[in-house]
Amino acid sequence: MSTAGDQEPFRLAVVSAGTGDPSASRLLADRAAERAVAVAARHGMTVTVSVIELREISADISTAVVSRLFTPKLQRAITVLGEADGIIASTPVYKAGPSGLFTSFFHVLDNDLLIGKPVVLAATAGTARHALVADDQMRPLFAYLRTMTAPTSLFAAPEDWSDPALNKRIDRAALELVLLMESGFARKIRDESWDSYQHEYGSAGGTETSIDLGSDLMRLATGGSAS
Amino acid sequence: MRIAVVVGNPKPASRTLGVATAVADALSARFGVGESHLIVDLAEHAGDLFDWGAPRLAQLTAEVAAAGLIVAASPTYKATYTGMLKAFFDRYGSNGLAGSVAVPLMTGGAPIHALAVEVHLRPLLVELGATVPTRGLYVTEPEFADVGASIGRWAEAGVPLLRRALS
Repeated sequence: MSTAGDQEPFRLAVVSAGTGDPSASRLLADRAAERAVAVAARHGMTVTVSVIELREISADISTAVVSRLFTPKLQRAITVLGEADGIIASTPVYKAGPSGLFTSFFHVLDNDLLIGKPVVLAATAGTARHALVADDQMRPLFAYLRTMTAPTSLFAAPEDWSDPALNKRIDRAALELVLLMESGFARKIRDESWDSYQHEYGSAGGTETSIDLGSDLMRLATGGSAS
Repeated sequence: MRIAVVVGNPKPASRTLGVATAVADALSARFGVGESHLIVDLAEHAGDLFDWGAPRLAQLTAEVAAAGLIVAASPTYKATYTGMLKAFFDRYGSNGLAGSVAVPLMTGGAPIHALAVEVHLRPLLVELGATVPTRGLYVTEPEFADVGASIGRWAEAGVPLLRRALS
């Protein structure tokens, strides 16, 4: 068992798709990040937080979507995610789903980038009617990315911000996130089981597999998309 | 009535656009639509998609909402529709497609993600207030060569439902 002294700080990445400055999505993510820092401190651990504001790189994201060209700004964001021990992913709800900007960002990521990483999902909306968005719409996307998504998702409609129940949920999610980071789950998957995951040919996974995943058959088998 | 085709594929003139246009052609023939389709190939507007003030897109969202029948189409990205298609529909206000009838259409490499059209794309159109009377249509790559046959099978059950919704 390692002690606080010899342990690297956990790297926590916050991704916010909020369009305002500040935005409700960023606010919710920040509250969760603060609580995670506090929980980790209680466990004798430190956490460094990096924030990726998607609104600041929206042009870079649309360039990547269209041309697969990754600008240095977008590449920096991807590096932060790749190095993160945990992620808080937060979006406004538009039309009963995560925003197009949020979806586009996660769609341009390499399928292997986030395997096994602990993620807390967060969504903010104008109405309680959309409270299922995190679990119904976001969780499947992160299932595709094979993240270790925390059981507690966060959702805030306007009336939730002053409700102590939201802070309770945030505490719950923060503890789950810290425990998952402490478990070293993502690293252990990478070390012990990496080859058992499907990887796209030439992916950023870092471990080569012996099967040619770029063949037509494998591309179809992995659900490769039509153009 | 006019048929609007909205395609959220990052590649211009994609095969998804081809399938969506074929669906529009088939519906146009069956419903005797005289006017030509309104084609919105979002690849041509990628630079504007996250710009809430873009005037060209404001015009297109209004034209699509006024068309009457909408074919909303996307390739499958990470088991759902593209963020590009979502960014276009995000521009509408609440119930922005009320009064429209919509057909959800997705393309993919294989049938394994076929449910995406029902679990992700249909609810988006319903949230916008559109009427979605038919099953979603999911067309896989091996079907592209004879896409008319796939569309025909879907249309057999779909066209009477669309006709009722449009009347």
